[in-house]
Amino acid sequence: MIDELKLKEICEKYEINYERLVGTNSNILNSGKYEDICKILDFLKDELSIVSKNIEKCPSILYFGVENVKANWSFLKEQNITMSNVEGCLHVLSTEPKEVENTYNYILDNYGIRYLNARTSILSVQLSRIREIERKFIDLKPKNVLQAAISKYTIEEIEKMFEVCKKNKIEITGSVFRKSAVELKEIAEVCNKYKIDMIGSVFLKTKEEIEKIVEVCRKNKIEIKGSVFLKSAEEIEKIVEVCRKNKIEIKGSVFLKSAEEIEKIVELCTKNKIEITGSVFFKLAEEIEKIVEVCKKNKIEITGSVFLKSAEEIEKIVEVCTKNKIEIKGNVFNNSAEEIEKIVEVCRKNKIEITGSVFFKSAEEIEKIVEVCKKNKIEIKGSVFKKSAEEIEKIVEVCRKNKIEIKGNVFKKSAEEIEKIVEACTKNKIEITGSVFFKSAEEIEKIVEVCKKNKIEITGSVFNNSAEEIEKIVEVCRKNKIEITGSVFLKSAEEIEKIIEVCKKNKMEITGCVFLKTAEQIEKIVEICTNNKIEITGSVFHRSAEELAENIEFLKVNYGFDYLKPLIISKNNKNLKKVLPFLQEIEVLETLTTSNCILALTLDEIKERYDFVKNIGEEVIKSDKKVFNSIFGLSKKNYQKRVEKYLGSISTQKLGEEVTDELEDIELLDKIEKVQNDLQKSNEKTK
Amino acid sequence: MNLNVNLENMKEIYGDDIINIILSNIDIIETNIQTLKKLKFDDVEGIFERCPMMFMHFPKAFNEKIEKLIKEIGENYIDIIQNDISILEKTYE
Repeated sequence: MIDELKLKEICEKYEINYERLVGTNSNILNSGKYEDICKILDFLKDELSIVSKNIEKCPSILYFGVENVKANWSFLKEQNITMSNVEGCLHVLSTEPKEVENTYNYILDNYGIRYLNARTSILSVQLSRIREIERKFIDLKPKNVLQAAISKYTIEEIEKMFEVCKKNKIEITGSVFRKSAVELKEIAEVCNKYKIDMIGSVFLKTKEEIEKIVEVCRKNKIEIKGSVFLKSAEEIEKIVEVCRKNKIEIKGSVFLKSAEEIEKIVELCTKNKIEITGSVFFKLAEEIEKIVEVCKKNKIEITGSVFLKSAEEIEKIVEVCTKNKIEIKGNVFNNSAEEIEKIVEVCRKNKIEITGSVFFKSAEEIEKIVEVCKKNKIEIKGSVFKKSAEEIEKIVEVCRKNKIEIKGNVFKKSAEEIEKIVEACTKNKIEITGSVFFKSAEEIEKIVEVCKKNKIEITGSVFNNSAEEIEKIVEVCRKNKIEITGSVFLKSAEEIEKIIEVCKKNKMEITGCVFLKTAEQIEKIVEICTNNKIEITGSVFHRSAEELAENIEFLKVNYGFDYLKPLIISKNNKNLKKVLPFLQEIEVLETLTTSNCILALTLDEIKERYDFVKNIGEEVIKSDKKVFNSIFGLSKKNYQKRVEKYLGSISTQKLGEEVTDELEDIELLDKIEKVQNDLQKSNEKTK
Repeated sequence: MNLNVNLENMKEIYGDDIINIILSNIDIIETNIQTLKKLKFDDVEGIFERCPMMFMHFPKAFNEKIEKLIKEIGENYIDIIQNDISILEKTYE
């Protein structure tokens, strides 16, 4: 037994929150001894650097023998288990060391390290109980066996609980094990009455509490599901008030916090210009403050995922990432620093690029995935890490059976979904290409129906949209007399409307290219061209506003305003920087201001044709200096024909034929010149 | 559609983005290429390489423009266009 004041004194010394510690389990006041608590805290804080939060979560560790804790720690440290999971589950260290060892080895051999990392608490359960549950409930999934074993209920009670679940079609998940059979039955009754999904957090409440929550949610039009059951009806009312005041959407993770905490978090986020999204509510205000501090110090973008970790964990992750030259963002925060080190090791060993997606998986899972990919000659990158090794094997089997290339998007779906998609595509004679895997079989069927109804050809890009969106796009296109094909499906109906509006306003012809830009980007391009007095034609929309600005600047500075023509500024900056100096060198640059089709050739092609023109004794530009020699305007095949003809004429020396050919060419060139003049006149008239 | 074009050259002239533009408009391009093939152009790929952007016009507009041009040029349109691609570039600009 320990006096409250003495315990408070210890807490202060070791920087532990007394209220949280005793609030978690007040038994410490009855079972704890001053010297023992200090000894264990010396070990946990000084030797292991365990963070206070993990100790506050598990006060029982402070009143069990320090020897057990040390022995268990030494044993686990030598194993493959991720130690940060043990740190978050300290009570396992208080278990009899022999039991921990037996359970560890059994779970490792029969379930795998993944289960030990996901449910580290199992190490505090005796092996005999685990085996009895396995024997008694042979149909139970491995994770449910472990959940049942960790629960506080006897085997007989668990049996009754499963009967209730079976009768009421309750999915057996972790939270089911929080209630007795009688309580489960009552909850099922109330859920059926109000049509509430019987999953997750409803099992945290009693029948009466659920009734009250339903009443509050209905009154405030809050969707009755998931996280609302983490709070009492009264707390929900307060949360609603705070959220309305601060214009926060009332759903999901806001119910992880009290109204007071939400107020604090809002204040803090506003001060630090952090977007108030779901994940900030995973943390306390003071934790957010620490996280912000660490992120600012390490120049980490403060986005949702950083709030998945504590400030201490972020510091550790930063250290590991910096050491291994890993970009510190996004998915890395799905893992502990320790796990990141292991992942890096596995990736290096297998020459896998260490990018975002590898951090979806543990090192052990990556090893398995690599094995499967190598066996099946699948490129190891990106989307494969969204699946487990077992799932990849199944996908490979289905793809091989259906002759589908095993890469990219197929890993967005499960093997079963792929089978259904193949069936839907075959039925509707749709080619099974990458984009169909963006959709489910049901969605494909709906899309096909809409396309057939509207006589739209079913090509890849239609699968970028839902059937409903396609209907909307069709409506917008018909209204604006745009052909329903190709790139229109790259944008939403709303965006298409905006783009059309901008095009009409600026008297621009609507081509497939304009839909590759947003309305705002188009406006920006128009602004740049107007400011520089450049005619707005279709070609300027092939480049981004930034690229156009770069080209305009380059031309203005180096060659003058005369070169600011749509067909010049719309070309690749790198090519312009090579071609223009060459044209200047051969003293024909000025001709570009009146004839610029030469820019549709690479520098090498221009040089080749230039040599040819010289060889046949002609000039690079025509006498009026307004047009390049027609050799530069020849299509690829016609140029080759022309070269072959010239070479042939040299070797055969059939002068008569040559003269005739030349005459024919002269006639043709005259015709071209006439057409060019006519077109120019007609263009001028149109303008 | 099997197009024998030099994508590296096209990237050099129009920038890397040309690949994305082509892929995003592949069905329009395919229809327009068929139109030129039906009109008996024998270097459609060469034309595409020189003026890819004209192929981004919606098929109806593409047809109208080429028909108007052929009317202006006359019977010998294939030779005239393939001997001076700039005629097309100006028409579709």
